[in-house]
Amino acid sequence: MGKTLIGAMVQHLLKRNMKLAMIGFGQAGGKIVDKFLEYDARTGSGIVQSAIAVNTAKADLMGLENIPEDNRVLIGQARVKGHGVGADNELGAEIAEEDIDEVQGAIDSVPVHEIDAFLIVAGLGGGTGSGGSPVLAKHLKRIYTEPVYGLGILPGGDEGGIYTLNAARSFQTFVREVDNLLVFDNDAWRKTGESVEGGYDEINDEIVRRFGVLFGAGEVTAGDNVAESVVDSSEIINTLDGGGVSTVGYDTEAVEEAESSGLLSRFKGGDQNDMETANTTNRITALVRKAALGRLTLPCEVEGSERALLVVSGPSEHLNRKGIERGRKWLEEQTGSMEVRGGDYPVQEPNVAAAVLLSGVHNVPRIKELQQVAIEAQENIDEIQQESEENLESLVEDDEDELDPLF
Amino acid sequence: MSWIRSSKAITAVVLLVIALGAVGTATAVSFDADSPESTEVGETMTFNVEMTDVFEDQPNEWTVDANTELKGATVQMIAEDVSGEEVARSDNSELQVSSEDGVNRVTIEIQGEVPGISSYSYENPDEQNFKVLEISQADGPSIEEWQAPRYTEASQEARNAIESAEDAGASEGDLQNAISSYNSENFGNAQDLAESAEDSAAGEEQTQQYLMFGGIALVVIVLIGGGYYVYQQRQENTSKLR
Repeated sequence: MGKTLIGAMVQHLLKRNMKLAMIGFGQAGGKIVDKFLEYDARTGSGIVQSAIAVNTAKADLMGLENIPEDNRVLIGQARVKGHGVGADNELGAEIAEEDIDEVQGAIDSVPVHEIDAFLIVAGLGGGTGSGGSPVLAKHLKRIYTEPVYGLGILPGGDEGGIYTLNAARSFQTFVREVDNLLVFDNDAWRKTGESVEGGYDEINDEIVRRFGVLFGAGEVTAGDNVAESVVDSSEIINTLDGGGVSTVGYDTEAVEEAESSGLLSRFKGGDQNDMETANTTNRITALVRKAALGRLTLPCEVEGSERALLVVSGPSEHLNRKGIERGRKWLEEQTGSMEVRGGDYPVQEPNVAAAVLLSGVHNVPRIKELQQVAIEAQENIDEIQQESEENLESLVEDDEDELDPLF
Repeated sequence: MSWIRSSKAITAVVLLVIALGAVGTATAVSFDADSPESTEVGETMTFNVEMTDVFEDQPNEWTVDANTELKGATVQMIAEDVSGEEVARSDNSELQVSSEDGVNRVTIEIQGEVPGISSYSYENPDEQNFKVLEISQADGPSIEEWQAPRYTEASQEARNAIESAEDAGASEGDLQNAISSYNSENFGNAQDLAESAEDSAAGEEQTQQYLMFGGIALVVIVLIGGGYYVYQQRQENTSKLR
């Protein structure tokens, strides 16, 4: 008894969930960080230590609901007067570089000693976030020792060539500047026939839930059952440590919440207990498979992932070491990597969920496709630009060149 | 207990019983009259009294003296014997009766104008009463007296106003002002004060009523709001996993 209590206390002291300073760059980034704050408040997760929104468009900053006014930074006022950069990510990068001190001013209010990492959230297809987030990542890495992660949102394939080009260029730069880039691909999550607004809302919820469970792991609040092998911030950091690109798989299943084990259950035979244990184990392994092989935030081949982290979450009576161990083993086989971490994250609610973080993924057809489209778009743009002058000339000048300009 | 002591006690009890018996059996002159009504100052008032057992506890021959505060009073006293025959009569305030005449009953009728009031008191309305009739032995002790309340139109209106203000729960200070005006015979002022006190009391009551309704409305709003908030909280998805 005493031993478990001391164990729990030690665990409580040593293990804790990840605390992040989140910076939402651009419209999509701001919205997602806003959603993270809402999720935090709604579920009491405590992931977000500080939240900052940066944008060149005043209207987007005003539309945020949960990020404190003081933490909304409008940059590039001299250049674009608060109207945004209009999907020009080169301009976005320039402005970010010019006004980096204003962003730093907001970050100065972050209690950096209390955070485990920075997370820069940005849509990669637009202008401000796409261009500015790599600049900010570079800046933060230069100043702080805490890891700087990126959460990049890829645009849907139907959003247009310019956005794809932006995303491809930003992706390249962003991966280089951050310690790890977590990617969410809108294309894989878009459903046909839904309104743009509603669609984005749902996608943002999905993003927040997945990363919320992942980063929330290790949180131990009073009254919670302390898990057998809690995942904590250091394990997440180590998984992300090698750099590269990461993706997250997730699946959940409803379970019945535990009836308090009364007298009756004590009289029940051991058979039932064995049955339940087997069920729990099977449920967990099935969830892990579905999470890894189902929809990932960035669809890719699981094989070849350099590192992986498995977090199984749910009521503690529905979690067992055997199931998690089996799930972890299975992930080792699938990825071919020996660096697969795993643990549980007990929460009191009638669902069991598995979150799989695959880090250092290489085989990502979607990125290749994105780059291909981007190259085409780039060529197309160059071509049109070259032709543009000739075409204009042929329109403005008369055939025989008989007219003279005014001056 | 000694026998002697106990016999003393018995003697004392016996004496007491005898004394009580003597008092109990001793009867007085009896009167039959309606109690006089409250009357306005200056009105004419008539009051009748019938006196029987005329010689009980009285000498066999004595003079009935009728005394009154009524202004310009006329008194008529008629003494009758058992058969109802008149044996003596007087048109002034004194009538001599004698048991030898067989006087059995004396009827007294008095009529006069209600006299003016010299001092007013709201709190002690009895002080405003006047003596309608006092029967006494001439140059002797008083036997019976009737008093009646009196009022003037103005004083009565002021009194009514103050009473109604009191009923409406007017403040003590306002009432005291009105009463003090009444006592110093400033009836118009007293009435005004009483009426305004009543109005402000009614206003206060209304304000209190508004406040009460306001409070009830507030509680209802808070309950509804709280209920909605709780409902919202329950509806809200607090699941981390789903």
